[in-house]
Amino acid sequence: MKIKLFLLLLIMSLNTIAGKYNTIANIGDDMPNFSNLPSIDGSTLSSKDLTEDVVVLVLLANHCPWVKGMDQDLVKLVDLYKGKSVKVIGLSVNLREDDRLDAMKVHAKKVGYNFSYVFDESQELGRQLGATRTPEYFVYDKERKLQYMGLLYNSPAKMNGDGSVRHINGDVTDNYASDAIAALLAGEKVATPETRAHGCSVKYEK
Amino acid sequence: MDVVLNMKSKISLKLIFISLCLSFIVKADNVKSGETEIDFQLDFQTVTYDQWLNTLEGYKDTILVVDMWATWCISCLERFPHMVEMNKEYAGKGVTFISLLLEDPEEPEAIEMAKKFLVKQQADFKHYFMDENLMLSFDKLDLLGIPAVFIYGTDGKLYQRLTGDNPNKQFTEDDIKNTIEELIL
Repeated sequence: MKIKLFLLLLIMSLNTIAGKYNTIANIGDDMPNFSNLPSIDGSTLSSKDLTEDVVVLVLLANHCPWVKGMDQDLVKLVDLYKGKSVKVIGLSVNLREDDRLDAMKVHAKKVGYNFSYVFDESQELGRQLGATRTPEYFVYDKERKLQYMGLLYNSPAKMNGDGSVRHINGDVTDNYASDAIAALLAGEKVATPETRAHGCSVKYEK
Repeated sequence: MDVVLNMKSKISLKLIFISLCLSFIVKADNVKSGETEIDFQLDFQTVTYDQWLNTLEGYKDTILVVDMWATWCISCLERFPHMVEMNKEYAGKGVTFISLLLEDPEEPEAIEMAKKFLVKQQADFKHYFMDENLMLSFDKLDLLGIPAVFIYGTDGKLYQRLTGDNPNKQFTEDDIKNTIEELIL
């Protein structure tokens, strides 16, 4: 009896252990609920309104060179799944002026964001995701279970002051986020559920 | 001086040779910073990860504060002046400040930019640059992001890792100071 109780407690504790890299979220976690996050188009977005089979939350920051470096690849990702049951939501959490809603509108227009871009002023959603870097991807299935988190791909790109973009590991060979979306649409298991995101740190108020 | 003597006594001849080959002192006399000219000698050394570990060995017998930063990290740049101030504040109290730059080694212009920044800050302590693939550096340091501050005790053991890796456990300059004060006592 004691052994059974011990094993039960052990299993329960394992379920609460965070991801390999993420200190809060784990694969299989429910997507946190959120409501009325202001979007750059003047509307608001709530988790209860999402009907798509796959939901992608991606942490962004206008000021971050690692976001600027992959912006166009994110736009391509959204285009790739156009017409499919996929909802991509950009999420800005930093409270610095150049990452707030007004600046988000300017940045989105400049780089041609083709997805919802919302501001998490309370930082609550970012905290619940355990999101600490930009860019950082979270991919949820139809049941809103977390199936992938981490990098867009295996060679993060940084934009330099002169506007040039450089991938730090050369040509991209593994499209983790896109592969996760494709797997979920096909009803398959995600091959690589977690990677170590790389980019600017999200600044949370203490 | 104590630190230098200690390094000399503890680091192997081989390491010293490698360090001498890789290190260089940037004589930054007359570097222009806006309208003023700065006369400042930057102490900047390139290390691999293994050399970094050996370097840390050389800082035993002092409280060591390591600031990990990069020019692409705006928060790091904003925080850096506080490290320069703290270095002055704790001078002569058995505390050594150093920085570890985490840039892409394939971007020499970023490293040059970092040196200029350090000169402008007049960051009068030793600076290291990790000459490894950038993602590999984070992996080896078991670090998600920067800014991060690692604080080592006089026994050479890592006493405190101050990182932003947990949204609910962010750190401030007060946390750095509090940790230093704990170790000084």
